[in-house]
Amino acid sequence: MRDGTAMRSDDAPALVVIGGAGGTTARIEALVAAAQRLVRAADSLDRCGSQVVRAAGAVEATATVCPATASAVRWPAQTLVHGPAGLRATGALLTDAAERLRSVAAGYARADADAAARLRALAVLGGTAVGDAGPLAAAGALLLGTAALLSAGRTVVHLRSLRHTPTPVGLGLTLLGGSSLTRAENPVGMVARLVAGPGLLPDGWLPPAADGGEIAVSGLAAVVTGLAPGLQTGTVADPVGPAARAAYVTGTVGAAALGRPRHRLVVAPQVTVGAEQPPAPRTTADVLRQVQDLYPENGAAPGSVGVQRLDHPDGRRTWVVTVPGTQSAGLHGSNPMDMATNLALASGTPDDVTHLVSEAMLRAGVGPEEPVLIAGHSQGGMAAVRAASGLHGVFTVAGVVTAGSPVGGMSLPAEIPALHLEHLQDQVVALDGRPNPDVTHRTTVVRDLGAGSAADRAAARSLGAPHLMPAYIRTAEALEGSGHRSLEEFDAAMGRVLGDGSADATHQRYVGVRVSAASDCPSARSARS
Amino acid sequence: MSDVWAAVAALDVARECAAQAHRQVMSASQVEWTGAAARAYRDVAGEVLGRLAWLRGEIAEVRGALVRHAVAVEQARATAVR
Repeated sequence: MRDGTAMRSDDAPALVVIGGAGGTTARIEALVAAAQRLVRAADSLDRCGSQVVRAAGAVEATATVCPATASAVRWPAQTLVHGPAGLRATGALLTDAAERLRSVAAGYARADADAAARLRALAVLGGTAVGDAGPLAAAGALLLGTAALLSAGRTVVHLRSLRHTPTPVGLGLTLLGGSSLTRAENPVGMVARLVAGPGLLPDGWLPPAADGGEIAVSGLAAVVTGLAPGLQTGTVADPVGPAARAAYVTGTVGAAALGRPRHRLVVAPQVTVGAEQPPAPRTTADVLRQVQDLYPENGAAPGSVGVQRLDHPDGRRTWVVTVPGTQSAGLHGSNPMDMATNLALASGTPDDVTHLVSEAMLRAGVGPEEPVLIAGHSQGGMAAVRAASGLHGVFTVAGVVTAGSPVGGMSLPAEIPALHLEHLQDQVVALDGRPNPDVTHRTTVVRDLGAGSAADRAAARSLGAPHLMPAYIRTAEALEGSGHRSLEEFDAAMGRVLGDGSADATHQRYVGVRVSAASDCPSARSARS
Repeated sequence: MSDVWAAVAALDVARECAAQAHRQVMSASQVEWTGAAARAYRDVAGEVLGRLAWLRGEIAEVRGALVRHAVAVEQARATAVR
């Protein structure tokens, strides 16, 4: 979680960070969790001191009955509470240690962010230089890079497979894989972990999305950006948006060249008979469950978004808008939740899902003063952020929740609080090529599924599962009652929309379908009129 | 329960609070961290754990003295009633 300070849930060790001088290694969230425990210990000592003072008061009240035994209590109790090594002094020591620990953790987080920013800048510079060298050079560099990666991977697997062979290499690898060497925080330890551990692949062979993925995406996007006419090297700071724009324009022009007609989006309410209404949500996890229900595999029509009206007992009316993620790998098909929308969202060009969300809100009758929470998964989260920005001033967007959405490059007005859920193993969140902004109104929670429940650990070992809704719902559940200030503030903002669960909930789905711009049907005409 | 026995109960709560603090600091001291700052932190944590052990012993002593005082008060009151 990042809100100016690096912080994670106490019971969910997550991001591994290496930073600082002298080979220091630390888990930032472990340091912050330790600081929290020290604060709790100080609180316990404070309560302890209060109880001793209370007991001492009772002794004073009866001191006249037995002065000798009262005196035997009085002075030890005094020393216990106020002595130089007493409860108060030790509590102060713990509070001070907790504060220092937090400060150290924040320093490591800053160092980590600085290092990632430098690496990203280097990747962008190298990528644009390759792109500037021309398409042939770029293709050659990409081929060479891919071949080098495959070759390195093959070498690692080959070496690890030799570990149990009765050869000098096998013996050497067995010695190198000894526990003391694999734990060493030096080049020998790195080599030992890479080639001499159990199994054919090293532990954690996938790069963490927050670091490696974002840097790799930035480098690749820079290659694409560098292919543009003119010298690009040194002029591009954020290549992901321009690269996505280039891909979007190429795809759109290509589709037109292949004879695909221009399209427009038709939005219609989904009519369901006897469908069960989802209950009023109370938590982020409840809202994400509604997002999950909007996927076609869960029975929803493709291209559906949800709009839920909440009529509270005090007369207030609020709304929850839910948006699922990508459902089609195609470009410009009938389902707007496709790759074309992803490219449009990443490049900052108008997209159909944001249009669908705003149209659904208008049709549902959302009032300008009625608070709205917009939540989305993956592409839906990107659309939620864009809709919240675009509709700011038209509607009262009171909060945004995204799960597994690459929204680091998207802006959001400071009046709109947002919660961004990410998983360390989710490579999709790295597609923005940058970390989420570290600003007070946007709280990002990055969770390491490898340190979670059995289901989380199983998901962490898979390439796709860390991005899926079940894992994000578990993460939202894990955050409940975390006690972190950023989350409490966001929950308070969300609570103003959701209430206490006693609201009368009315849910309506709206379906967006792309149709040929040339075609028109009477129902669409009447809907527009 | 008389006021002095309530004071003994308060010290039982205090003893539990100190034990909680000890567990928290013990857990906080086992953080995955290397380097010079980590060594300094472990020194502080070790000192605090030592202090907490001493404090728990002191609480037990105060509680013992308090129990003696409570018994003495009860006896004195019983004598006064007779």
